[in-house]
Amino acid sequence: MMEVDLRRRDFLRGASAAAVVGLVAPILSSPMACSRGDPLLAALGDFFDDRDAARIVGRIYLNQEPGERDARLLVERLAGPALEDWGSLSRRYLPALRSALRARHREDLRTGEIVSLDGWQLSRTEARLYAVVAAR
Amino acid sequence: MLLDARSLPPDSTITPDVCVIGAGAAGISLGLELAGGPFRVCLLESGGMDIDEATQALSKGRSSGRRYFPLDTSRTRAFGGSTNCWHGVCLPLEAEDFEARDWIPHSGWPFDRNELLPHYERALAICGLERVALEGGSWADESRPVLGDTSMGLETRDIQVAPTRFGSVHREAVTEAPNVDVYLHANAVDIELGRGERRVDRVRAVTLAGAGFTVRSKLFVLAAGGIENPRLLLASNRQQTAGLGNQNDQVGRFFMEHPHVFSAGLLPSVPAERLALYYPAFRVGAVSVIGAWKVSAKLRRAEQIADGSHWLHERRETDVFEQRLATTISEMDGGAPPGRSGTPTSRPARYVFASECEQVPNPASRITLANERDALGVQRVDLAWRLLPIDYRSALRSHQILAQHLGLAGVGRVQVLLDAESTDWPPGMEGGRHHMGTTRMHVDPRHGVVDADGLVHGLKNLYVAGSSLFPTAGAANPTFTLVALALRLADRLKRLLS
Repeated sequence: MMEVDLRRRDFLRGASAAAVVGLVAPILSSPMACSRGDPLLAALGDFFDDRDAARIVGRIYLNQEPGERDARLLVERLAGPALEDWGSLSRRYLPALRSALRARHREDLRTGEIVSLDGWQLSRTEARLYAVVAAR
Repeated sequence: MLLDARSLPPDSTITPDVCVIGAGAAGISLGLELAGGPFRVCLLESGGMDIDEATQALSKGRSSGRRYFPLDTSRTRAFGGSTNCWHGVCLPLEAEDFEARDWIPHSGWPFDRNELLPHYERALAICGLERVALEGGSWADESRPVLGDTSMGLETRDIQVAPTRFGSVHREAVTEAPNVDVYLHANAVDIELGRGERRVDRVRAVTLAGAGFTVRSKLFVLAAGGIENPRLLLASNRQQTAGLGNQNDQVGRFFMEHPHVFSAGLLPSVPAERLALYYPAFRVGAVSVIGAWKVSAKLRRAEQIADGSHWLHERRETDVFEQRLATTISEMDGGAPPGRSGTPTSRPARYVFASECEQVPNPASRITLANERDALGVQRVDLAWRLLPIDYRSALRSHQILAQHLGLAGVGRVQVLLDAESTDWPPGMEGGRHHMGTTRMHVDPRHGVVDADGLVHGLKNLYVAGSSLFPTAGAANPTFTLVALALRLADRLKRLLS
């Protein structure tokens, strides 16, 4: 049986950066990896088919978290220690990226890494994904 | 037989074997169970067959605590009691509701749920229900799936809605029973003890026209509701100045409600058909059924919170932001955004949760007598409904847990509008007109008014029926349980009379 960490203090309202679990790294590691994040930024920015919608939601997050308005910073926080390994990404990695980020999203919900946008409770990861679209 | 107390000769005395004060859900259930027995039963009903203003006015009172409904609008004085105008929401209490929970002071019933199970079964027919749904999701199937991961602590609770009007549905069975007399317009105003003060000798009743009569009986049952039960015990203070059964200052304390809040929402990332178990209510035979979510007992224990039922109450159109959010969360959860890939093109909807919360027993939440008197000279009540911080925290945490678990299950996102930094309930919070706990059961007279059978501590023949017996309220509307308790009491009365 899976246990859920439901500590109340983990319901963050504009709190510190997300804990990084590094789920993405093993999937996205590539011999062509480089230390720069621009391809990754592009890939994350393309996560959603409906980017207009994501942008609108992401702006709300950025208004609430003005310290994260830098797209590069958002990518770093999303990728965490895996950033250096991610390297240059191409669109062929997108399915793996989507899968890994959804896993991260679920992990946030499990651990209570949640932000509130107009009362709507979102995982920190999804909120940052929306914000990446808005910040690009 | 159906009788009008106004037509009794002055100063009459009635001498049944059992006198039941009140003909609401509890009183009528007792009448049904006692019908046909080898003993005489009388039911005293304050009102008539229909609601009238002058009789309702007897229930007026003050509220000195948290804002509450005008008391004369929160109960119905007529044959059938408040089932004349209830919604008919029925569900049993949970097994854990009967247990002593160390994080909830004064919790624990004097028996476990197994004691009530056979009586719940018997109560089905009286309430007009389909089944005793102990496990949630009992109406789930492929077209109505349970949503949420039960193993992680989000469970489903089945709610049946059957607004059975006891006064009309059961009228014939009660009033035509050869051993049962129902007296309408008969207001019990005083309970008088006999010599030795261990037995009730008589109840004095009057009509609004002023005519009085007396009921002398072997057994008496007070079944007048969660406010009138303590009121009559407290007002019967000519012999015991604190009131009957009040030697330990327990009568009227622990008034409990079910705080109802509409402070959470659901923006689904699944098609509306997937929510079929939860919205809208669906018909099963003669009842409507709707699923509600709840936090599991295990997780409530870990969180040290009280219970709550959370169901989708209302479907609303989304605003612009919510439409965008609906799109993004659908993608995030792996589905196609609304309006794409063959999904419905209609504007996405959002839902409002109704949360019916368990109120933790609080001795400072209480009924006392006010100085004012009603038209019959009986002191009115002062209701001081008081909540504790744990009540608010439980609602808030439950909503947060709903958000986590429905998000994890890919059902959608939950909006939580209760302020995490506060314990102030939003202005829309109100009770459910559920009056509970004011003559609570406890084996120890220092902690309760009646024993496990509903017998008033210190007395030998005065019983109480109704939701005023509940030591804790759970998150279930009280009628189904109070009917089960009344049937259990009826068994005891029959044994005593045999």
